[in-house]
Amino acid sequence: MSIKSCALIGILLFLGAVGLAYFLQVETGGQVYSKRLPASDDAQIHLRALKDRSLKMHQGVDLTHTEKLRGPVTLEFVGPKDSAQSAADGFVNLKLVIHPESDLSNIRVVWVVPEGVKMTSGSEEEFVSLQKDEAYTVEASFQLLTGDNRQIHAQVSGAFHGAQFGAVAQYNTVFQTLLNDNGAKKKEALQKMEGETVTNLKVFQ
Amino acid sequence: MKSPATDTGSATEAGAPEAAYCSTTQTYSPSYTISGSATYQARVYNGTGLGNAGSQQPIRYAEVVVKDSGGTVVQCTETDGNGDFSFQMPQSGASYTVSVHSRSFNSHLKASVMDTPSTKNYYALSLDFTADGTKTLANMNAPVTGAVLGGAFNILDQLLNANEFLADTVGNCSSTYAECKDVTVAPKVEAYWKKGFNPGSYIDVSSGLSFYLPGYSRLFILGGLNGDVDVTDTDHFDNSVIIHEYGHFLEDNVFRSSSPGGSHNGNKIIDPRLAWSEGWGNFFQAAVQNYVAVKHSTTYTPVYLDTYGNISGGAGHYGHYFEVDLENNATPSYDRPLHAGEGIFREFSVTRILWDMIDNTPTENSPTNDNVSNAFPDIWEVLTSTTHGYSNTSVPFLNIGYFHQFQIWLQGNGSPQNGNDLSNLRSVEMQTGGTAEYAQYVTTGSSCSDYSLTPAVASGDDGTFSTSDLNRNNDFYHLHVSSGQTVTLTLNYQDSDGTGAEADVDLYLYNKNARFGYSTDLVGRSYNAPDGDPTTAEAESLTATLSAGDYMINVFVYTGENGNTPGGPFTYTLKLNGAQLCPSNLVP
Repeated sequence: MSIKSCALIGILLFLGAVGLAYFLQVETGGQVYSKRLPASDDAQIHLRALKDRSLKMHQGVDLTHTEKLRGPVTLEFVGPKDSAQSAADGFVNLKLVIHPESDLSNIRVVWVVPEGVKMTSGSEEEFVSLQKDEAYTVEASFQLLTGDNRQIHAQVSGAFHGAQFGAVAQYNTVFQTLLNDNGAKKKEALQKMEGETVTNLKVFQ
Repeated sequence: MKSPATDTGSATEAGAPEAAYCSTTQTYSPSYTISGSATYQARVYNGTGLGNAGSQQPIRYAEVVVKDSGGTVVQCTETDGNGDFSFQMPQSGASYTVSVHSRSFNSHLKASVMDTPSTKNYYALSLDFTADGTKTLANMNAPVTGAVLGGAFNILDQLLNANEFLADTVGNCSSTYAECKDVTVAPKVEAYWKKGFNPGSYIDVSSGLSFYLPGYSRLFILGGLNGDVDVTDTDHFDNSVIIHEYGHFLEDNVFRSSSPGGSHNGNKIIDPRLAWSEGWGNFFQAAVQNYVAVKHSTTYTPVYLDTYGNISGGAGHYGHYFEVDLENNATPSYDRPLHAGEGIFREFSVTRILWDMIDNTPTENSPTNDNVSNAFPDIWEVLTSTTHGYSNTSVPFLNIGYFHQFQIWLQGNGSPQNGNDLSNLRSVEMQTGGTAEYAQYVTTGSSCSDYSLTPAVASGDDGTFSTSDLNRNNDFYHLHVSSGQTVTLTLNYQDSDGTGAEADVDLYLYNKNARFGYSTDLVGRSYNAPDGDPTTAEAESLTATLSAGDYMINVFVYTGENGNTPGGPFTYTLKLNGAQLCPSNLVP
């Protein structure tokens, strides 16, 4: 196998890993909690990542930060592996995954479809009930009428214990993969810097 | 095709130096006098979310710079409290450009609103004119559309509002409480904001985020996401968010904070240090906005209000990102404490009690309970006192328990006047008047009664640290070690009635960071299984080599894999090298 072939395979593996990471929506920088084992178990402390993201390593520093005040839902998009290719093909299928932290009823889900994009399946507006800690998926398909980047938003809103809350997720029809890759590269660069400083940083939100 | 704008820099980098503030006014003779005014507009909340632009507001006390056609600075001044400015120009008949900048450095405000830490570009409203006579220039206005300069100047104006509130309420607070720190203008703050930019990307958060970076005096305000400002979340017109973050700046620069950070959604039992810090920010934004409303003879409803999108994004496409009432803790209520002592673990409980200290509408529950008003000087005294306050550097683990301890001291020892009695408010919010629930200072050398704890089956508890009830299934003690040494810490516990299921109690020792459940903060632990016989005593013991400093002892009730086996009530003692650890006063 030539050096060029090895390099090509390496690049493909890397891109595949990045793409797979996006497709699987791998949680980044999860908070690390030690789970208390049964008292009789003398095994080494076990670690697991939880959904709340308060302990992260950034820029070579232990960057502890609080999450911005938000309602009891978080959102994520599961989209095509290659948004640019999807745009070139003229269509995109999106899955909006809603993660509720409480039982919630009468939750409004809205797709905000920009000019140059046509919704071909799914409902622009619907109301759903959510069960605590059970991910809820809303799917929609779109025809892309332009090769330019367009931003499709999903908005989720409702009320809980007298408070009103909302959340917004954004999908870029052309640039999403690039944005994810940039994020991955930035994260990789930051991780390389780990250990170069011992400063403990906090950010308050 | 260009991809959405990003910033490849970091939140912490020094970056380019900020251009020097122009404060020297030139005099010319003979001269013409040039006058003008500058305003900004902000989107106004319309009950649904951010609506259309409101009326033009003055850009107050901001830097004004005049440059000639070659870019040389020929004049400097500042806008006044009405957004007006006036300056002399030589009778040259030449062309000039006057600019009003998004920064202030004067007796009213010390702040710069800039784009990124790496570039430090402030924003400018500019107008060309010819110095051919004394004249008044057309008003310069920063709008809510286009470059959204209204966002930059709104941020600046909210920071000014916060400073004016401090100057008016505690600018001379030492005349009320001897140790209160007078603040007429806060230290310099850098606020970073860019249209369509999410500063969360600096810290690897892809969703929209505003935050404060302690140690750097830097606020980061959300300007949108990947160029969008109309459908996604932004914060440049969300005054609650802007002033909340500035509240964190004050913690960092004027008094002290022990907040460890951590996840919080405003409706959860959380670390009391975090609850205090976030509760303070929530309160401070309400205090400032109430101050502004009173000044303009309008009505303020005490809420924390954060929005997403705006009316330009289309009907039905904007709304509340987060809105919660700060006055009422009746059912249903966000973050309502349900058990004794629980209020110190809930950020909006902290917010409500602070709000009740200053509001003049004692409507919560009953006027009898909400019987304190206009007490911001009490709050500021407790935060800034270097002896009986948060600014006492020997006090770690700051939480509202300490706030109450210091405020109770002020109640009996304030000079020249005593502090207010908050006992009714504490009762409403189920907060204890000291550190009994968290960070109780303990020392050896005395004797005391056994501690006691009654474990509970808590909602959502699955046996992990992240779901453990910090109030009912944990106790926390502050241990100070004056010199480096190896210590043995012992927990002895005994089921209270000798019958039923026996609690499984563990002993943890954390360093000063003391983030609950973080292995990185753990100094030692002991987690033996009890023998299951409630009539026999149980013990946990750990040995650790400690350097001088502060530590947190955690007595942790392990509730099982499903969180539903907490066991029965028990009593316990703590010993350090065999000597009993008893409650003590860190600050007499």
